[in-house]
Amino acid sequence: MRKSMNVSPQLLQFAGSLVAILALAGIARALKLGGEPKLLQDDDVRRAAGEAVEGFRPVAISRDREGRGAILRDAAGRVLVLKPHGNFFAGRLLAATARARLNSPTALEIDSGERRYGKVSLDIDDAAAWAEVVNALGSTRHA
Amino acid sequence: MPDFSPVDYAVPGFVALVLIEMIWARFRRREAYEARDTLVSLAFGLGSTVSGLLTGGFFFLLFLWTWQFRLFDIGWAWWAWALCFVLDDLKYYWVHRAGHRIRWMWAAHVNHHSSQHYNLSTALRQTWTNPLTFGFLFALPLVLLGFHPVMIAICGGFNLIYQFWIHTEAIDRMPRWFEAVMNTPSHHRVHHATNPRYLDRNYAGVFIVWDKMFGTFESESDEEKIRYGIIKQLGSFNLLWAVFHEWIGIVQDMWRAPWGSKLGYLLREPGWTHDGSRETSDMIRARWLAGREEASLAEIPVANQNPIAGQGEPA
Repeated sequence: MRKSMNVSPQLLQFAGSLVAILALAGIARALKLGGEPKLLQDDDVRRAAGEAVEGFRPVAISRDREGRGAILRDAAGRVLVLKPHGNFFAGRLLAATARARLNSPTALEIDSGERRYGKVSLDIDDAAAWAEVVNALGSTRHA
Repeated sequence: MPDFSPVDYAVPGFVALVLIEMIWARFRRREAYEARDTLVSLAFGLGSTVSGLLTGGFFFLLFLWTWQFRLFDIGWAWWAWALCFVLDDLKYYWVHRAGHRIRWMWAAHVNHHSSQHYNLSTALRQTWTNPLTFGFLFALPLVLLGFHPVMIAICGGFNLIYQFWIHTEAIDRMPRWFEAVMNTPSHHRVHHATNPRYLDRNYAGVFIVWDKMFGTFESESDEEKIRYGIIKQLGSFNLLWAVFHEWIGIVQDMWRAPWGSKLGYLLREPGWTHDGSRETSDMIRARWLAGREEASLAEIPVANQNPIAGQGEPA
């Protein structure tokens, strides 16, 4: 005689929900929902910066050539970096722990110092100047 | 635990409606959904049911034990159900308000707000860590009044089901009479917004009248585009980070804070710091209001800003 398998209703419900979740996320991908956000002009950067940090008014902006992020500075010397997150942008005001390095004359890599926010790579003209600004944040704060 | 849970029966409906909204998004607003965001939100929902199963029994037994000290024998009459639903919604308003104003409770509730999207999958983005807060205390007055814990749990379930459909941008406004009394997609979009004018507004679950009564109501303006999420957007789709980031933040802040300020990081509002290095929602709103006032003053001709000069103007 075969023994019937006893699966608890709760486990069955969990498995069913898990399948439904994966199916819905798969459908969202198959329907090509979302998309890649782009900062095509400086006004887009200003708007995204204002959304990331209320009232942030940049006096200097460098936008990634492909529009995949930006780095900005305001009159108070605060430096904000923007990176795509899903189909929006997420920003961080860089703290003294932030570091920047040049991978090429126009390739700036910024480590926000926040592990989960991660690194941001920007293809910009004035990469060296920005690297200096970011790396100086620590020294100016502790001066 | 009660045998009947209305939410269990609603789950297939939730899945179907998310699917329908995705199809709407495909044709009307592709940016309304994003696959990774949807996956994280739905994983939150699944984890929260597991968390509820693991801890719900303890709280239910606690409520049953408390019920023996009830003031009245309310029973199971139809009016008791209706009254329980309304009072449970009032309780929801206050527990939700505390969830935004006390960082200990915000650490759990922030999960529901941390998506930059606002769609039906966001409704299912429920916390795993509610049992670590003291939210259950808000239900004790209902138990002590004499409402049976089963009745409260069932009313709470229907409350949660009601709140599902209001997490959408697919519905603009409901009829005026409905908007006046009930929580709606428009009112709840305001609640999920990070625009300064909308911060800490519209805490209602089912009846928006609580916000109107307690001074926290704000209507949706067609002139300002809503942005969703939290003040410091996550910038990561890591599920575990999304679940625990605020708890980790509390521990780090309390560890670093001077002795006299440690509890402030647990019990004060989110954003509070002992050295003023971050902003609370009240501070952000005040700064925004001051900026708006400054801008409107700048628009008024100088002569009109001077009362004496103003007196000289022709009537």
